[in-house]
Amino acid sequence: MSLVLQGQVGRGEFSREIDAIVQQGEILAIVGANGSGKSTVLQTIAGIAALKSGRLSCDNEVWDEPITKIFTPAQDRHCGVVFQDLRLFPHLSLIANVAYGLRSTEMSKQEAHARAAEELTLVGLDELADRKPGQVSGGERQRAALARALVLRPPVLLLDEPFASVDVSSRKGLRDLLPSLVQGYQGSVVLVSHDPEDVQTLATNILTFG
Amino acid sequence: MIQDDLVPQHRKLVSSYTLVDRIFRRVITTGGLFSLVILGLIGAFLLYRGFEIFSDFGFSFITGEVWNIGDPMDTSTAVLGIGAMLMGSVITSVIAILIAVPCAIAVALFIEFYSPRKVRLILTAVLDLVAAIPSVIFGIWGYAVLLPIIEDWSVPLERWLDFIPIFSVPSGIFGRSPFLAGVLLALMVIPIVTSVAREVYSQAPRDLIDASYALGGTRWGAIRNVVIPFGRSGLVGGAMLGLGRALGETVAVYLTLNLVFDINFRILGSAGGNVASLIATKFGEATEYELKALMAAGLVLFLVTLLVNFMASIVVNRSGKII
Amino acid sequence: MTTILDSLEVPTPRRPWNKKRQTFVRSAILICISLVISWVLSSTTELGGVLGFYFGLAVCLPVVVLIESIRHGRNVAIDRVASSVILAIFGAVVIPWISIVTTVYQKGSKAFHSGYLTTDMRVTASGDPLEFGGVLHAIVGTLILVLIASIISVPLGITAAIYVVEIKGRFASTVRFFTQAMSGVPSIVAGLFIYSTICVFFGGFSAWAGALAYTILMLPTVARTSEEVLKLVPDELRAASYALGASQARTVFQVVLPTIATGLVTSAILGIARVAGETAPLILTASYFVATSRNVSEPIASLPIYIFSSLGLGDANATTRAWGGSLVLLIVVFILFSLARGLSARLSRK
Repeated sequence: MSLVLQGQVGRGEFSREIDAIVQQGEILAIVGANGSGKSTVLQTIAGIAALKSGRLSCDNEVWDEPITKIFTPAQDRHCGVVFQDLRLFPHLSLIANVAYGLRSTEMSKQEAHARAAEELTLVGLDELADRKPGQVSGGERQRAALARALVLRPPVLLLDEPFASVDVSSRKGLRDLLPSLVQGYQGSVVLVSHDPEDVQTLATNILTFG
Repeated sequence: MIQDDLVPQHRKLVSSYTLVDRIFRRVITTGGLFSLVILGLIGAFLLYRGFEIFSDFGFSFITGEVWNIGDPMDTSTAVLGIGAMLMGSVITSVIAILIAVPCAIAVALFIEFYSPRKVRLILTAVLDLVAAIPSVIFGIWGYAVLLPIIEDWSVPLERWLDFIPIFSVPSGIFGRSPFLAGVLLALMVIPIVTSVAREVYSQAPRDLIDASYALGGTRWGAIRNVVIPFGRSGLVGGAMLGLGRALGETVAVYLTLNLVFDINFRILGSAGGNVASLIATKFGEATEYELKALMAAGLVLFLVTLLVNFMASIVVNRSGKII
Repeated sequence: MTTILDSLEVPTPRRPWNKKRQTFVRSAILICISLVISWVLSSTTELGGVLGFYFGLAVCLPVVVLIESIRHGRNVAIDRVASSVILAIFGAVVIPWISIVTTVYQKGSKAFHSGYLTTDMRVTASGDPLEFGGVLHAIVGTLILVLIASIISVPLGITAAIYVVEIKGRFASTVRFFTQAMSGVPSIVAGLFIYSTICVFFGGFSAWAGALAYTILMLPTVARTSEEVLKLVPDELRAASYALGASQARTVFQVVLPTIATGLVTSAILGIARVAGETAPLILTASYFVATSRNVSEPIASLPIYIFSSLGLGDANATTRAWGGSLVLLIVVFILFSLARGLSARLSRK
């Protein structure tokens, strides 16, 4: 599993050149100031934003190449994304949130919920499975979002400021949790952060945005 | 095979939808187009039912002033024309709009620029509430409360303005006049026009208003030079929405206007017309042939209001972008 | 010890934009003067009655304000006169609205007796004494008409809104445009259309036909308000759903619609409030029936037609019944409306 991104990302003043390769098992950290276009890179990989020019490919599938008008829609890329603002669905319980992606793959409800429950246990949320996102703490929401992304076993995992909305005390716990979760899983990770500690403890490669 | 890794194969997938999504989009599209279908059906069926009338009377159905069934057994003796009613619809609606638009401007300005925030929120809600009062209630109120007042007022108005033809009443009978219907329609459309006007006035560029104040202008100066010019096209659209409503109103007009088949510009006299209330009045005891004429009248009303509403939505959709 | 600060006179800051007590006093005095003048006018001239008094006031107020403010210069005078004209017109518009509500309440409450809401008119003529009969049949009829109309028009209206907001198809702007135009179709034309199709083909008046006429009138309201509500759903939620591999259908049904469920209820209620008082289409379709009925293939009573038909009789008791029906209808519409307001307030707080 290797992800190759070469070209211009973003529109207008946020647009910038990027050239990055992430091999299987690597964790690429993108660091840089606010507004330097870090999140746009993730959105481009996830398929929510489009490349301006160049090419994005994963293994031997082209995901986005403006020149040939090829664009694989987000739902066919099977990326796992943890958004900066999490975007948990407010009307669904945590377990339903985690099972949401699995249910999109025509998995039966029982099986999806069983898998989701396992994943919630891994992140330590098994007791809160039936709560709504509005009824749990920020750190717990963050774990749920992580579980929702990981349960799909995505070839590419995208983390956008994964600990930004968490207070310092639970940040430590999450930072310890993340490597153990990622270790067992065969894929590439792209991590966006402005916290140097995140980057040092997690990343295998670092890309700095000015 | 290093080459293969470097040059990925193009995958043929140019944002196409899955089967589920294709079905979903097809179903929703069909449902979404339903309103178009209904509009088409309304026009088609009324034309189908009323076609005989158009072919019998031609253009004189629209201009004619007479509504006479003649011998119920013999349709060739009938003379049917909605000219007087069509003119009546226009007269009552024009009176309504002439009254409603200045009032709506004043009320919208009052809500947006003269009242404190709390009062503004309450008034906006009241506005929506009044817009929801059923027309039959406006009608019964107009008949019971407004009619005597307008009747009292018509007498001195006629005495002073007798020399202007539209205000003279040779018959001396006031009462259920186009003026009364027009005032009542004005009260009904004011909430509609006001909420459009308020909406566009609230979007008037704040920086220009502040600039006007900063240059020593008064509140009225800012309104006159910034707000009103900015809201002009939106207001025109709102007025046309109100016009469409007034043209198609049935029950309130039925209760407050004396239907007389005669083109009548004397707005204070107790005689007038309106296509919609013609249909409601004649429907009950209409002959087969007359029913067809009512369908034809309905088609004319439908097309006129559709035209007015089309123009209104074009103007409203464009408003706020001008300047 | 004298410092330089003591010798400087610190001016009190002036805040010309703050309303001073003086302003209120001045306005109050001016309004009182106008009240006196217009009272004199209305008692000496032909401008009789409350309305004449108000009309005099509306003319006097700007004149009095002009005379008072002319000494401050032209611009100030124009500003104050404009304010007084706007205030006068506002009053002229609001007074009839208040009059409608109070008149309906005063005259309508006379028709109320203990059984008014629980009996119908099957053994009572409209002119009979007011302690007999009631509006039960009309309330039940209106409920049935509105229920059928909602069952048809709410899904269709939401579908049209989904088409415009979610699918963004080739005809999206056309659909929006025609929905807007459809909201202007006169209600009597909708009735005429249903009469010329349903009533002619299936033989005569029926509750079905009335409900279908209501559907035509309800559909645009539901579609337009649902569209506004759908636009409130942040694109971020949709993107999150797609990124998890969900199809568009799943995204719409499992994410978009559930997050704005209250908004969709609001749009349905607004549609119901819009049609519940429509009279004209029912004259041509559902007609009227004096007893409580649940048979949808027969003519059925409704509140607007109850009012309308009682009014046509000219009898004093029948007219009072019409006012009673108006009061019930007004209350129904206002309740629906407050419900919609409350729900949409809850939605916007979320």
